[in-house]
Amino acid sequence: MKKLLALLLCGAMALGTAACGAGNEGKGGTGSAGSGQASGDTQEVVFWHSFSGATEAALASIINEYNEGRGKEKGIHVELVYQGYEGTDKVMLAYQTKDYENAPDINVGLTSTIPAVMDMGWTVNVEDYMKEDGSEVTKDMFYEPLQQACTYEGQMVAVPFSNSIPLLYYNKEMLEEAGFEKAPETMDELKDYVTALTVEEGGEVKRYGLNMQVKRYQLVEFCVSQGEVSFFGDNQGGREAPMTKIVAGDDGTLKTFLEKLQALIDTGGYKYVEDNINEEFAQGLSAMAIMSSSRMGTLDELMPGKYMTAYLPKVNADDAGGAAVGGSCLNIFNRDDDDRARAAWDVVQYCVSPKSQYTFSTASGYIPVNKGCEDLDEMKKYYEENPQYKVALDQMKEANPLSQEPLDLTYNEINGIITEIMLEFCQGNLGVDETVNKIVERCNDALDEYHSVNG
Amino acid sequence: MLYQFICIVTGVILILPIIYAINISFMPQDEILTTNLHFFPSKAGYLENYKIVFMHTRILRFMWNSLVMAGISSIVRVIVASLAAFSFSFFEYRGKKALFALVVGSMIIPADVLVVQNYFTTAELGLINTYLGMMVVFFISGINIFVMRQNFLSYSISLKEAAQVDGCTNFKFYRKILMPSNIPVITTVFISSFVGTWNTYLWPLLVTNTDAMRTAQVAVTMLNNNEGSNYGVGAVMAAAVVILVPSVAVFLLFQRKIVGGVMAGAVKG
Repeated sequence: MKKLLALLLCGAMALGTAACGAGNEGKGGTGSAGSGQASGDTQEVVFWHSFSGATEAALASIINEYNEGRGKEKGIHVELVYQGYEGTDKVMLAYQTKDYENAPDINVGLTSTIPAVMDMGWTVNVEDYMKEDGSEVTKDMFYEPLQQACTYEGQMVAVPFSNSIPLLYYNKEMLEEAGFEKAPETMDELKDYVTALTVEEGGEVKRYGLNMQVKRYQLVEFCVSQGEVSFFGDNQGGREAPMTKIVAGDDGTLKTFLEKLQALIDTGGYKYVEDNINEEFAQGLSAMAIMSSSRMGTLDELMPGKYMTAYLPKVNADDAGGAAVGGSCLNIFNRDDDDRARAAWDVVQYCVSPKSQYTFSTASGYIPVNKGCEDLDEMKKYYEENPQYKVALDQMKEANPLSQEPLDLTYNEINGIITEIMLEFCQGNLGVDETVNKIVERCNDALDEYHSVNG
Repeated sequence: MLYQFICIVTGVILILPIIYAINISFMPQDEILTTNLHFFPSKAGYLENYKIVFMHTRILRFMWNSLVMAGISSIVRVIVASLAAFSFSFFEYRGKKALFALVVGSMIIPADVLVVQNYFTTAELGLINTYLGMMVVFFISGINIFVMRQNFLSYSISLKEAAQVDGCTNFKFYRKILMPSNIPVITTVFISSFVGTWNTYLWPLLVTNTDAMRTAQVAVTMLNNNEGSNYGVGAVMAAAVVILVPSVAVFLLFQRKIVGGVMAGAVKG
């Protein structure tokens, strides 16, 4: 026992010593990632992100280039910090607890979190910066759908950065074998393709024609792409004013989509749950899949050259709305330090320059946000060699800018509600009308609750 | 015989997923992603997944951070819990029941509810980006105090009285007699605390803002990304295997003490 106690106490002392030392290192030695102040003539800027793999490497190379070049000239140094998907929650936590020291200057956040982020007194409305004379970055440098994606209450409050769009991925060889020369363009065509591409043996499906689980992201896309322009929620999907209810039920877009989806389910070759959608598609367990364009980087590694992308199939043949862009934007925070916020703005402008966007887009599969990027020779060459990436850009450019994901305030809750109800629908436990009513009712309840709590 | 057989079968069923995870960490991507079941790697010595883990994440630094956090907080937890349990078991004083009710009551409060207030306190104390900030919320656990108190209650009070007659002080009794004869419960509390803290993801991520202060669990999430580009299931499994090693080592190291303690008690009768 004595030995055990001695061992524990020695361990505690040794670790305690290390803890104090390393703790200090974390606080000051590695650069003050949370609390960085201007040190000497250098202005520190803290940049929180959620990227990993090749995407993180690309962002790191852009930031290194900035630190070594323009940053050095202007006396600005950027500290890049990985925060996972909790970055936005952490900023909000720091704001709620008035922890000025430990918040970032720039954060990568989902566009759907814009209303909540703008509620914080710290958040900079970047449209004010873009309107200033001599601003390097102006609103019209971004594609219109991207401008609209970052617009809240009439102002472009954030900067598009890592944006993607849903695409139909298809296995080139399988479609050719089935005699198809091009990808399906409508959901009616999609049904025929699924029927032809599904392989059954002994009553068991060996290859699905299509894999896609309908969650909030997918449901919203199919609703807002209908007609000339459609919205999922009121107040233009929450962009003109906070969203208070779902309108996709009243305007019939939800019902129309569910009827087309029912036809897909009836084929028996549509897999309505996602297990490992990337890997299953790569292994030929499904001939087609509907996923975000940001999956292309992964699929290039899993099945290089074997797949191609196409636009999201239209619900009705005459739909002109087009798919909505999703993804994340850059928010800038001013924690009672205008100089620092200005320095952060300089970094953001550098990150969305055509050259930086070329680096970021080709490494990640995200759509380049700056219109000037597609005019670069290297980008043109890249699109020639990788036409599947160009499809994402073209689809976004052709879409109605008002075709957007909603800023639905209770994003996670609404995603949970839609996922659960759509699963019941796909399993045959709910009819079309019942599903429409249930989704609308429960999402509206969630929004009502949000508004009653938040005023 | 039947009992042993059931135990072995249960053990094999429980350990199979872990063995499969270890095997996957030694497989190339195309071998993992097949429709046929490949339980064992087709060729030995495939270490690419481990290379990815060590080259693309600072996993050793992250593991050191986790070790410091889990090690110290578990030791502190054992000391605090045993002292509190000693007080609740061997002394009579006003408000004891109310204090114990507070301790038990703390067990029904979900940790998530406390995140904002805990963050506020930690930030106010200037502990963001420090090991102390990462550990401080793990120093006290109601369940550990409860477990130790229940264990100490079965301890003969007359032994303490006899020790006092011989001039033994309260703290000396705690240190020299009570603790050495309760090694199994100390070990149990230490192991559960270490494994629980080692596996924590959210709190250390919230209170640290530099890559140098990240914990081992973050390394796995850095490798497990569906979008843009990822390193594959093999690399994720390799990271999971690497960070599993300290937890298993702690269990193996202290497991003997649980058995030893039980045996010692049995012989004394």
